[in-house]
Amino acid sequence: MDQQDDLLATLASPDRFPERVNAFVAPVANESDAVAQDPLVLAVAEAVYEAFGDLDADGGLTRSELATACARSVPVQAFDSRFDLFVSMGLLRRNREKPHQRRYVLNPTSVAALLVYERLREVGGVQEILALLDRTRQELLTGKITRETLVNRMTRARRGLSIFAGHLQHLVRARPWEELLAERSHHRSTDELLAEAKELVTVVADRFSDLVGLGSRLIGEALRYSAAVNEFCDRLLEQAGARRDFSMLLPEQYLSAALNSSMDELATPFARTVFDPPSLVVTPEQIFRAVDDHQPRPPRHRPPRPPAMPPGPDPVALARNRVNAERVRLTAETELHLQGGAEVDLTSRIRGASWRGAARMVADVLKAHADPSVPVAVLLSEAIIVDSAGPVSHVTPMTLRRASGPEIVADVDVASEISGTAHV
Amino acid sequence: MSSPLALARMRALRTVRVPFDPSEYSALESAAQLAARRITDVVDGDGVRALMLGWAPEYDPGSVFGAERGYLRNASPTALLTLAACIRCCWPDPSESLYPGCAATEDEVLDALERFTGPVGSGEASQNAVRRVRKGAIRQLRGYGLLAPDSGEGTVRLGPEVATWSDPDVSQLRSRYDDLPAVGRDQS
Repeated sequence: MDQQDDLLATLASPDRFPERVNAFVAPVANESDAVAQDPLVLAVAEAVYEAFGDLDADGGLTRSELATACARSVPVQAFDSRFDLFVSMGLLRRNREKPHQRRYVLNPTSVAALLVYERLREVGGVQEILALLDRTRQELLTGKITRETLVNRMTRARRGLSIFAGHLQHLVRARPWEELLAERSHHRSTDELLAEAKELVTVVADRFSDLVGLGSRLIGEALRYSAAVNEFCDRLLEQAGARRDFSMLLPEQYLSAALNSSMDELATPFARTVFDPPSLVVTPEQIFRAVDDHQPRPPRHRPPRPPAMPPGPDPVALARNRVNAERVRLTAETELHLQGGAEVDLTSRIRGASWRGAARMVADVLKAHADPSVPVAVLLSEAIIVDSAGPVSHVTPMTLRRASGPEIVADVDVASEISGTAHV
Repeated sequence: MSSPLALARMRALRTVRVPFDPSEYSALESAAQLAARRITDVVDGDGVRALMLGWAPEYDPGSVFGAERGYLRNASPTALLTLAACIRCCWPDPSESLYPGCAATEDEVLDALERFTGPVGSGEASQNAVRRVRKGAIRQLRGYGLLAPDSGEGTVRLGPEVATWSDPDVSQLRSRYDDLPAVGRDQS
């Protein structure tokens, strides 16, 4: 662990940050030594920023007030050595443009610069491309960007991504592992950058269809940068795995380690950690619920096939013959009653028959009436003859009539409307 | 060792040896009572006696942890079915005590499950995949203490967590013993 701390200290930002600041200022530097090498100079500026941010500096601060506030963070000599430069370069401005006014305010532009330096220290320059893409998309959506500006920004972003991709590939292929380690925190936003680029290109394609090609190139470079980041992380992990050193990885790199490392390597950090054993809630109810849910259905048994019909006469034909025979019998019986006439009163015959005979006679005559193919109709009276001494105690007078054509369809219900309901 | 530390040790190790000093045992019992737990005496399949933390009769993990349900896991249907088969295979006589039971082989448990559920999917590849999932469930149950640790011989024994089940729980298992997946059970 001590060796790792030493390694971290060696590779930590203070040694490399001045190099980055030099490169950052180079585009606007007058000479090669434009940037002070002493990291204390930036600390003085940070102390000034904190003083103006924390104190109620409405109206500004005098030099002595500012020096007192900064004395908590930096030596007085450092503050004194930088104060005049800050004033001459505009970081500190006099509140009123009068010689006797000695109150100073912090230039907001310098505030922005300090924020940028902090971002440069922590996450490198890729965040600037991300911010550029986001700002461009927002302005495009609100209509606050011209076509020319849009093209410029997309081109700048594309070039920036190309440079970063190339830089990463160079690091991976040709630079020592320690240099990769120093940059590990600068490329954490790959997914976010890719997403932002895709969103911007989508909006651009919607508004400026002729810029689709430019958008494709931007996406291409974003993908190339993403591939370079993956290669960069693989190189880091490869070395870290070989050194069994996982303390220097970032969260997403831990994920890659979890996916690619062996069980023993991953267990090493937890060798001295105590765990509760896992707990599982299991009750007999749960067990039997699972048993009942997963019990297969009993196999379905098909009913046995009915035995084959024995050879013999067709039962349907037999039934039909029975119906026909019955019809013939009924027809003959009604003819017997009519004796060739068109109508006959059956009341006396019913009264003269035994109880069984009367019932059979009435049933047969009504069946004949109900059968359309038997040409008879029955009329029932509303009256009822009561003969308590006779074999049939209650008789409804009934008339049998020969029917022909439409009269055949007359049925008991129609007859009862005319002459009453039959009671047997 | 202080009683809270001793209880924590029991929780981490799941089973501990019976202390020689009776006063130490009493102290453990008192500490367990305060935590709504009870000391359970278990004897594993090799006849070795050990102590483990169970729950007092009027408590269960669900009622104690309540909103902290994330502490507890619920068993998957596969794990429950596998456990059901293990119970049946390791508990040949329901009139006997459930724990420690006897040893069964992994193949017996897997065969019981296959007989119970019938073929799953079509083809040998599907059957092998299902078998692998069920073997994974056996490993999982070992981790949860419901089955004894793997002795390397492909055997399955009931674990000490089963010894913490209450008498009503065991009675329920006994009442539906025949419904548990078993080897050679007629499914027709």
